[in-house]
Amino acid sequence: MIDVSGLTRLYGELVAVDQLSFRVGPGEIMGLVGPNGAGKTTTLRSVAGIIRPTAGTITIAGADLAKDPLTAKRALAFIPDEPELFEYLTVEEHLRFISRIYSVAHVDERVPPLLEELELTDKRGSLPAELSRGMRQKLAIACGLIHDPAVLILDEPLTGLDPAGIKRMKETIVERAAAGAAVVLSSHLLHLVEELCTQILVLRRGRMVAYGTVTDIVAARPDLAGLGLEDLFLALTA
Amino acid sequence: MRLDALAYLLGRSARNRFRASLARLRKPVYAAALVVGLLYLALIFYRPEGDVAPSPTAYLPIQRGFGLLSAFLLAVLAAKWWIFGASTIPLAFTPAEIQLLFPAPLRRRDLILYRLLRVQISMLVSAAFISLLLWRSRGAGYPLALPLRMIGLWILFATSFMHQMGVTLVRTAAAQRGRGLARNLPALVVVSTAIGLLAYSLAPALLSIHSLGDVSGALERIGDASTKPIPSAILAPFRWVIAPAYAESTHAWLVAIGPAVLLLVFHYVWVLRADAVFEDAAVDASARRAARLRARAATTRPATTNTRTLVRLSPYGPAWSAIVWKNVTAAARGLKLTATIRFTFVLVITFSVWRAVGFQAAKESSPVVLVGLAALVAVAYLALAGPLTIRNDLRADLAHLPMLRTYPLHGRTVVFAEVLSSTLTLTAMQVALLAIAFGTLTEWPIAERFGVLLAAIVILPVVNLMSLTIQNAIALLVPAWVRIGGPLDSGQIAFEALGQRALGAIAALIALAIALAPATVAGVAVTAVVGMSPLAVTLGLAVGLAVAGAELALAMRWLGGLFDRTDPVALTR
Repeated sequence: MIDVSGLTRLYGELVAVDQLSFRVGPGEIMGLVGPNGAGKTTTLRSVAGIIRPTAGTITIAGADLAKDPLTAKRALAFIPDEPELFEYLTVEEHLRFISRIYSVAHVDERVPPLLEELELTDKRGSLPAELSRGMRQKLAIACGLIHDPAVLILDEPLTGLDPAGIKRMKETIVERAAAGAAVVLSSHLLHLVEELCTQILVLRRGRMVAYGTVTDIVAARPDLAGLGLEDLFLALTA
Repeated sequence: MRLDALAYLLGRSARNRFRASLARLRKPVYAAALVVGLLYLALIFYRPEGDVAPSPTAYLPIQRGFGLLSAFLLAVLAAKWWIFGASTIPLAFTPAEIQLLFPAPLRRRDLILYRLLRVQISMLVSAAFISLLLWRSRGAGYPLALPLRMIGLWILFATSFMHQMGVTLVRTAAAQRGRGLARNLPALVVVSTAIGLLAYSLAPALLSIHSLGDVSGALERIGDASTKPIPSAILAPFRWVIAPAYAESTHAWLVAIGPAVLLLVFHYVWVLRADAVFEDAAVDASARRAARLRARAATTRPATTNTRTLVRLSPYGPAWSAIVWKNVTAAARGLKLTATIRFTFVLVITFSVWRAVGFQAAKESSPVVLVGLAALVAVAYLALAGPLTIRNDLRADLAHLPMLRTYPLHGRTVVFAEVLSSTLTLTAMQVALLAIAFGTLTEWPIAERFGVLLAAIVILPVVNLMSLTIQNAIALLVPAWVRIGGPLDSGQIAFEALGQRALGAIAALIALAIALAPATVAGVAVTAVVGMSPLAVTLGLAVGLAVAGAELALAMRWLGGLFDRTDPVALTR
């Protein structure tokens, strides 16, 4: 579903991501972890088609992101850590707008349950400026889910959510994966990664230092056996 | 006292901003901007040999008149600030300042002092620039040393800034005590009484200027009336603060500077003492500023909570039309009734003054015809200034570039939809104004009026589309010239920006002329070949529009590629 090969991204002389390759299949949830400045956001933005890789190929649902960007983008949703919303559109109008962009059918039937799922029904007529940080994040999530994407890319998805929102969001991610979506999730919350992800990719200074399930990673580095994920992460990124 | 830390913050910020400006100059396009900016300034200040400066006394009556007019305006502004509220900008801090300085162990007056210091650079630059312009207009005969004029203007700006700050603090305190009107009553009574007395004293002079027929005579008449005891007393503080800026000689400046400095010091002490509700007022002002800047990035209007819908978005149709719908809805929601009222008010006052001082065309025309003429003037004004001020296109949406890039749309499709959004907005405004002109200029034969209206309706959208394509191209080519997402801080001055506006406006006009040339030449040629007849003109128009359409298609293709290649990270640098 997501196939990344030799992804490299330079900013001037700085190598933000270096020769990164990974694959996320349907139903899989990959956790992307690494210290600040490791290249997580650059990776996510490249996979989402926001920035162009300097080298490498990215395939989304069978479509090459560089050669057939529209087909690839129709299949994916990117949910950033900082919600990007249009200040003059109401909550419901955001969903209708995104539905038109992605040619979503039966909008009138899809919008109400999604608003209900994300507890935004009461705010359907509100502008983003009238929403709390958590509500804005929920709206960004709703915009990402309205077209039922086959590939979900989430950058720190729990930022700003209340405990109920966090629980609901985790359920949503698991449900989407169970329904066949490929999910990439970047987070500093290692317990979240441990709880949800089927595989982990650890980045350090733009390079992959570990990839696979925790068992795979420990198998490759027997010296790390017995460590919890937090200590494992610290040992890999030290 | 942590003033040393605040001074460090100011100094380092200024230094780093300067370094960032220098770093930008490594890019050829920004270096070119600086060169053009310097040339632009040189053109302003260059006086060719043989160009004789006017006599030092030539402008004295007008200068006195404008000095008086400025005192009046300042008095009216002060009254407006006290009754309706002053600008909150003087108390507005950046989000970082709110987050880092407000919880810090700093006294309120330290923060006020910091805010006052932060604005000094832009105030001094403005004072210097205006002084230079005045000096340029008066040449060698300039009667006052440049630094003295600059100090006079700086005192005027600083006092006005602090007055607004003080008014906001007083009004916030009143509002917090839960009895805003009662708390403000003494100030409101004083201000209202002063306005009433001033209007009553000057009414005979104001009503009589209609018969004079010239501006200087009218100003002189009002000037004489204002020397009577009551208006003189009311206007005194305003005259004092303005006097050094308008001084006609070094002696006059020396006489005027004392009272002006006293007023400045009084305001400084007043503001530092009126700090009881500083945090609340500042946080509120900062929130308003942030909302205003966000809105300004999208349009020229302040943020709104208005959710009126012109057209409901249909679930079916091409995806690009959703972007057009979004942007036009944003423009409609940003439109404020008060802005329209203010615009109408300015028009009414302008034409009233024209009539009062004897502007012949204005005196001979009926008010209805004047409305029609004003509408036509506004159409022409919008054709020139509209593309710079109506910005519900890429200039607003580049702030959301990461999100736009995830949409399954070609770059050229996004660019087309964005440009079409502001074109529709601008054209709709022009057509509304043309309709007003059509309905009011009834002395003009209806056939001619209809012909002009029809031609304008056909030609204006194409000219607007081209003009706005150029503005969006500038946004994609040199994003640092354009307000995108994070607008410039009011106190922020990038020195290479000197040429940005000049270069941008000149480049846009030249590009528009070049872009329109092929279509115009083709249209005129076809008309000339077929022969001057209504059919030939129609055919020429059609050919011209077709050529323009082809040009626009090519431009969209190029800009689409540019959009696809634009790095969101580069926009924030």
